[in-house]
Amino acid sequence: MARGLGRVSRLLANLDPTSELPMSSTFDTIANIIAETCDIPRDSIKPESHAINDLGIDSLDFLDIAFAIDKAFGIKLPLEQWTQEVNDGKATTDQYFVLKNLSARIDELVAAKGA
Amino acid sequence: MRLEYFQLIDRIVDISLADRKIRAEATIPTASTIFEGHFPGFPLMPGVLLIETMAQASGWLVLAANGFQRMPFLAAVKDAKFRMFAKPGQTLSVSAMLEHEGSGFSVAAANITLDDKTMCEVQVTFRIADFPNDEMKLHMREVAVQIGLSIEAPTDG
Repeated sequence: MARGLGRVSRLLANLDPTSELPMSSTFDTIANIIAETCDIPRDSIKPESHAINDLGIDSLDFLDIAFAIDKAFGIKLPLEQWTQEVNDGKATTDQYFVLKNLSARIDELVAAKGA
Repeated sequence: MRLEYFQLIDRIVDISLADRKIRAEATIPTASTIFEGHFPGFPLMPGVLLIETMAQASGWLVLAANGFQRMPFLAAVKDAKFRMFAKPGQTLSVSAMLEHEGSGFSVAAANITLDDKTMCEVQVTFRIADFPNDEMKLHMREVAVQIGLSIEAPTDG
């Protein structure tokens, strides 16, 4: 868990009594971003949801989400690298677009930034 | 503005890559067939062309920021507001600021002012992609020189 995110996660944990795992705060932040930018009911966004296959978010809408995530976490989601990896068969979209996995990638990027 | 070529920015007045800002000028022509229909007796620069003007200023900023290596393609337009009429003969001040450079996309906020009053504003998102061919890449560099935008990165073609 990144140091910079600790404060955010504590704040969110205060707001959300169901928040247990450290990862859940990152998930909550991106779920809220997705709900707001794509007008998807927040309740239907789960850690297991695949942003593209389950939530129906297309690549253009995902730019809005990436913009909001980049700003919220102070990172730059490497979307082009991920796309290349998927196209080359080196990764599956699940690794980046299932939200619990996306949360983990974000945590890694935040940790790498603070290192 | 060379409306018939869709070249809406006349001149780059000021650019700061450190501040991620650009300012340009664009003079609306006094005569155009557009004004014969939009509108007879009351010629107005169409709002979509004002959006395009702001998008082009933003696009030049993105190109300058990446050293003309990759092309910004307009992908989204948000929160466009038109606060006053744009009329033939007016010289517009077009400003843009790069809000975010993501991976494969950029977001800019732009506005047009006339006599220090905001005429219109918009947020634009671009997809950033490799130039589809050398012809386009060369063209963008040529237009950049015409409008006074320096190409700082080393050129390879």
